[in-house]
Amino acid sequence: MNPTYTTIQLFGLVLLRILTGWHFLYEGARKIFDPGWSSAAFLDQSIGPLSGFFHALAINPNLLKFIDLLNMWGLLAIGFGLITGLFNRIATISGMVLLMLYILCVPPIFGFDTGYTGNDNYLFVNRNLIEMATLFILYLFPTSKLIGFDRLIFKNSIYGLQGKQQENT
Amino acid sequence: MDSKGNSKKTPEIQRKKINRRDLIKSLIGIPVLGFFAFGFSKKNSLTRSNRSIIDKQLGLGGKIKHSGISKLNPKPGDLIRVGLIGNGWRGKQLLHDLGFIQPEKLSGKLLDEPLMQRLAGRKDLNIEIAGICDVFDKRIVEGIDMSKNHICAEYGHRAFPGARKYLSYLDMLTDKGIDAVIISTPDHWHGQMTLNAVATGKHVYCEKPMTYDEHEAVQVYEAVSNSNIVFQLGHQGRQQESQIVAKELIEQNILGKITLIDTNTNRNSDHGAWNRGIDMDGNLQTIDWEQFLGTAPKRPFHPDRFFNWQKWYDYSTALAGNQFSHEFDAVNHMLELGIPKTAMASGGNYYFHNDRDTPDVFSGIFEYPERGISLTYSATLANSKERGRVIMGSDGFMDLGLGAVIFADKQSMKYQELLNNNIISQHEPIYAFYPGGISTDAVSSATTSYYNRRGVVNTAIKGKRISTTYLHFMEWFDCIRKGGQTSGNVQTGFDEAVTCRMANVSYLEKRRVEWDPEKGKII
Repeated sequence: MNPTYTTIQLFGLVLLRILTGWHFLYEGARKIFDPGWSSAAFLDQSIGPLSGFFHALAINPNLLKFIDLLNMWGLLAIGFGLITGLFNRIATISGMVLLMLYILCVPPIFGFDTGYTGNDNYLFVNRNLIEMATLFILYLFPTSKLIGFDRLIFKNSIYGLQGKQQENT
Repeated sequence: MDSKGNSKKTPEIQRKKINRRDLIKSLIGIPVLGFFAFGFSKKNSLTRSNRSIIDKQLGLGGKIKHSGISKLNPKPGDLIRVGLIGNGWRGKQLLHDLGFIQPEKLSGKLLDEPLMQRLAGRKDLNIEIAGICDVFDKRIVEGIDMSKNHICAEYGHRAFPGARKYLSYLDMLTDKGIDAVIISTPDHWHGQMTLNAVATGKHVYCEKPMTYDEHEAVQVYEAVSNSNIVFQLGHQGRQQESQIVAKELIEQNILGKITLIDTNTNRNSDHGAWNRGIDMDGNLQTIDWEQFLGTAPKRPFHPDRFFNWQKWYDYSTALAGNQFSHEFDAVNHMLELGIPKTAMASGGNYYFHNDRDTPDVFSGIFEYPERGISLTYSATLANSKERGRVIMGSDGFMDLGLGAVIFADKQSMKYQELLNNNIISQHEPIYAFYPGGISTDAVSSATTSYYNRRGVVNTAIKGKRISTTYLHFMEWFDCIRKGGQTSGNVQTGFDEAVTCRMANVSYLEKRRVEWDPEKGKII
């Protein structure tokens, strides 16, 4: 069953989805078009309990290349998915996982000075955490089957048809 | 057909018809994507166009010439048998940089350490540590243990028979089984050991500063210049990519007329202030105190003076020779300033009131009237604020550490049009170079972290992190095998040793000093 929203609720949720997607798309595209970009600098500045793990990633050239590609194209794909409403369940979950990794790399936890890293820290809260919560909302209140590619894909999806078949037999 | 093969009438699948309303609601993201693509490409093209205007103005033609990739391949040649004189804190670091490690690091979990990962990425330099000399027995044993274990990318771990033990460096120098020596002793030994090594035809890698004073500097300069040995001074910062790029940028006059260069040191740790502890195994039975003293004033055995010798002028060139020398050499590398005409230094022992006679706060001003440049230096061992190394010109300034970053000056005549047209801003770099992949690993000490941020420890070539000391050694071995000039040649060592000595003489005698190039004296 698709959820039902009032028009203004649907407008608000779709707007939130597109704006969040825009941010992901921009971050991905910016990295893809910058030949000198690498996640090494971000991993290097890792602080907190998992910093050893993230530092180790930064000094392994092969792993770093993989992480760079995953970041660039992952961000782009998530952004594309959110804006167009394509596979929104996957896009929101992947986005949350990616943001969680960013947060763990430089956690906005009291006691860890993130000042010098250039990352924000509003006492346990930072922009990544807010964006992750946004994706959680978008996951809980999906709109892509109403406004987005998913509307086309899932309208006659095999799953939907199977359900229909079972009802008929 | 069901699983039993019976034909069964399939219920009619009622496909929902896709209507116009569905299409509109499905494709609503497409115009947003189009708008994004338009905006992004416009922004990208504006950035590229601005970059091209800036590059044209800077005379860069889009990119700088330097590429350090050729440095990653050592030149082939015969095995070089190296002797290490002095296996203290720095000596062990040098052995690490050459790929020789403690046996315990070869086993168990330690294999995963960043140290091992760093070493594993390097190519074989085809050398052997054939001799270890130290005045402390324990350090000889440690050095010999390390000399048995080598790791590199080509073959992983390789066992060597182990270095020979020398109680006197003169015995090592007369051994025909040693081709080259690394001198990593207290400062007061650098000059004498280099002179002895040159006399016996050994190639020399000497830690900074090249000599304790200007008299030795003159002797070493003449001895090395009149010999066939290859000399490399241990200022590995010359291998730092950002420093090499900065030199090119300065040569292209991007900063305009340079008048002031501001350098500094800020450290705030016991290790950084040379309170490095005392090994309880060190006593008159295990340490050759007389040999340690050498030409220094005779004193009874004093463990603190042995293990933390940097705190006393008897053995140390203090902040000038140990820290300012890095700053000076970087500046001399980029601008080829040479020895200043005058130097004036002051400071004091304001924080560490323990037993020491070298200052913990120190400042110096070095004048180059012919070049119209003043070089300043200030240091404290009781605060670790990052201050950067700043080169100030009439059109802009460069901040040089791990990276080289250039900002335009708001009053610049050269960049006025670009500033007025908002193509560049005084708050945004007009050029920035950061060698990628550089980090300080979790096991590095505060002192190593400090050096790393100053661009002294690591550089990166094509995103591959690599030790500058390893590259500096590679250059030395390449020159030994195939000839050529090392970047830390004796001329750079001479400039550095004399300049640091001028600062120390000025500090100790509380007066402005001058360099007399004709007489080769500080007056």
